[in-house]
Amino acid sequence: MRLTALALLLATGTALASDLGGSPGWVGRLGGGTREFALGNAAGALEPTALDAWWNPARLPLRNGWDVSLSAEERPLDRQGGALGIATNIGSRLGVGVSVLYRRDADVPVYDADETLTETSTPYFMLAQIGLGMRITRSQSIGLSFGVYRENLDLSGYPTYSAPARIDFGWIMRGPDTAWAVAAVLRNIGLTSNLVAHEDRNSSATTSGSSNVNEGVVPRSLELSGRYRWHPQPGQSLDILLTPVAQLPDSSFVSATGATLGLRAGLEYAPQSFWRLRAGYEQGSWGAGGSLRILPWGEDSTAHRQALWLDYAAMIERETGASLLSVGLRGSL
Amino acid sequence: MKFPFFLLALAALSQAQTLPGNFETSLLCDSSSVWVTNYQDQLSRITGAGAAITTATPGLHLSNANADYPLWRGVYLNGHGYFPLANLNSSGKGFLSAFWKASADSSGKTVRRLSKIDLPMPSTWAVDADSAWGASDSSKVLWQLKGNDSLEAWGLSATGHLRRLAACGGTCTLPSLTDSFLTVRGIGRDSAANLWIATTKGLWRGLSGAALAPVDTSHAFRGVWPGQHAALVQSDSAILWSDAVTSPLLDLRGDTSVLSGAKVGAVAWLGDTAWVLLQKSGVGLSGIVRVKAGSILSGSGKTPSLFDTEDGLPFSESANLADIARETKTGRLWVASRGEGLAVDSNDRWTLVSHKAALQSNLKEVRIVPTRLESGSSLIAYNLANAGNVDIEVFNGAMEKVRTIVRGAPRNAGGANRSEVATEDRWDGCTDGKRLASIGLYYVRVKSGSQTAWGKVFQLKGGASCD
Repeated sequence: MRLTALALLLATGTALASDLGGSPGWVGRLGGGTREFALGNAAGALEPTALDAWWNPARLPLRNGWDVSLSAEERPLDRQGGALGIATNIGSRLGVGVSVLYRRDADVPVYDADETLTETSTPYFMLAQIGLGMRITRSQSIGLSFGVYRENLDLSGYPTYSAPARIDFGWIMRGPDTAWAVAAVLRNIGLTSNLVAHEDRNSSATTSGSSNVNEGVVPRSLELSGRYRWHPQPGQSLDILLTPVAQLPDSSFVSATGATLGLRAGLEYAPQSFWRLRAGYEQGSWGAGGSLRILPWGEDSTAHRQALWLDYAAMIERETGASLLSVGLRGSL
Repeated sequence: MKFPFFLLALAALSQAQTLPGNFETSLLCDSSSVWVTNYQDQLSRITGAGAAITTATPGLHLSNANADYPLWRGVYLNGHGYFPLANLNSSGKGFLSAFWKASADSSGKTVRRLSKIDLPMPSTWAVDADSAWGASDSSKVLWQLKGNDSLEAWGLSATGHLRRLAACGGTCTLPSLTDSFLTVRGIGRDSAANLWIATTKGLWRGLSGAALAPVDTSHAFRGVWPGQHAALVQSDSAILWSDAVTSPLLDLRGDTSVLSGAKVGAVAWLGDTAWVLLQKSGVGLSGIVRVKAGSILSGSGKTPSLFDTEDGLPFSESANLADIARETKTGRLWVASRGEGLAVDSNDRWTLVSHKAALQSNLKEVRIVPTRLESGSSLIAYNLANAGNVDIEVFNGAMEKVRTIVRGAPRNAGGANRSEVATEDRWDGCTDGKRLASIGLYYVRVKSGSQTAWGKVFQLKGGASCD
């Protein structure tokens, strides 16, 4: 029923759009967090993390204390990125969190029409979310987050760009003892009459003096996530994660024309309480990684709420064919 | 004593020089050379024989003269190696003119400055960026358009010094030009040495120094390009043809819709045929039509059309043409573009002359030129070690494919520098869905066999049209 309502929400309004949208769209689709990176970004139905404001704001109240994470990654073609997340609960029914996704390209050579090197650019792209979640029943919660986008192409004479705020909605339902969970996240709902998040830009800032407007929207997407936890032996667990994604090039949800369907999948194996192994798949790219709990060190116990984890991940990216590295720290207080 | 091999290397380099850049602003041909200015204020001289370009000599870098005047507007040669350069600033209000002497050294390959004169700047200077700026006659007199309602004549002394011959302002022998509400917008000489002047209040014709006779006073004119027994004229609203003083001007729009919204950028005469470079600024298109006896000649098709890549012009479809000129000695036709270099036509065979900076061979480097894609399209330059089939695709930051440029397209191995051909392998900023990609950074992948290389480009174009 709720999913039907979400689908109807998607179907409203009309807008022109670029096929894949611009930077605000792809920065979000790359996601953030070393752990999620290794899981192929199939992260919508995970247990609460510090990056809940981005991955699913409905998870924000499902914690007891503070979670913080900081990660950085290096991709081929001098692409770098990182993510910062902070989340906490407020009482037993509410939770809040902030997440920041950051991307940049190092040292892009810029040639003019005469093939003269005129400058070297290091553009950056940043997506910040602030989220609020609320328990609605013992097993379900909902949340929403406001996102703002900022980029600087670092080109002489070209201004910094900020996209208007947009909203993500999240929902999650968990089974007893968190043995399973299903979740849905609806992204990039614009604060406009037709609910489309526009990213129109006036190109008059360029040196050509053109006054044309580059029209675009941040594509809306629906991520449906499932997680099932299997215990192969006492003290061990294997989480199986699956996230189909439907990304809409325009506002028409009913018409499948141009819609992009994708699949994310991940496995997280916990042989003992202080380390993890992960594998993931996303749109032809394969990832793997692990985590080691460094505080408290070496103790095979889940009794401690306070912990500090070191995460590591690597991925073979489909198009570049090269490996990507990510490291991060996660802490719980 | 070791043989000085470095001298051989220097000699080879001197033969392998290319244009200093591909963004040309003006073009002029004399009996032995082609002169080109580009937007970086560089002046180049090209000499050659037949269809072969044997020397392309980067000339002086003129921008040091005054950094506030970045746009050269034209080169006007008087047949004796002297030419002035008129220079406007970016807002079109400043003016600087200098005189230069060409080809003075023993090798005949260099350009050096002879003298520089700052012409007086009228207090009410009105610059029309589209107008012609000067013309020369066969008697070493250079006619220089000075400003509103005035003309000046400059001549060369026996020692090569410049001197002011006459000024035609309020008291000159051109009484019809003394109207204070009249602006001179174009000037030129035809093959019979008749002077043509286009003004806001009419078109005038006559021998220099003599009284002008009105040809047409019913239009406001923006420029005139006289040729052999005729002149092509641009009015505020139409492109016109005049083949005699007494005959009415012929509106060429009656021939074809090709001229709709177009204005004349430049004209080169080949006998009695005018090659007219047209520019449609509103839609960013440019092309060439041929006009003979007041009618537009057909291109490769059966109907009058823009002369473009289908007719062999070695530019991309989105090329922005800047100038056109004909060599007086060889008859070769030259076309300059903003971003794709020069094209020269010899015996109906077009050859591209462009700046080709060296790239690492064996597909180790991809360079997108210009990297800031603000209009038209950008060249995807690379260098193959061996001939092969090439895939070129464009991706966004999440490595999602935005556009397939070519797939399995055969490409030749690179030469000394690279393997690019201007008509191939360009990105216009559009997606496979024929929409303009959103502004941002994009990644271009070139694959050939097992070799892969990437380049980066900033898509900054506005508008939504990708038809």
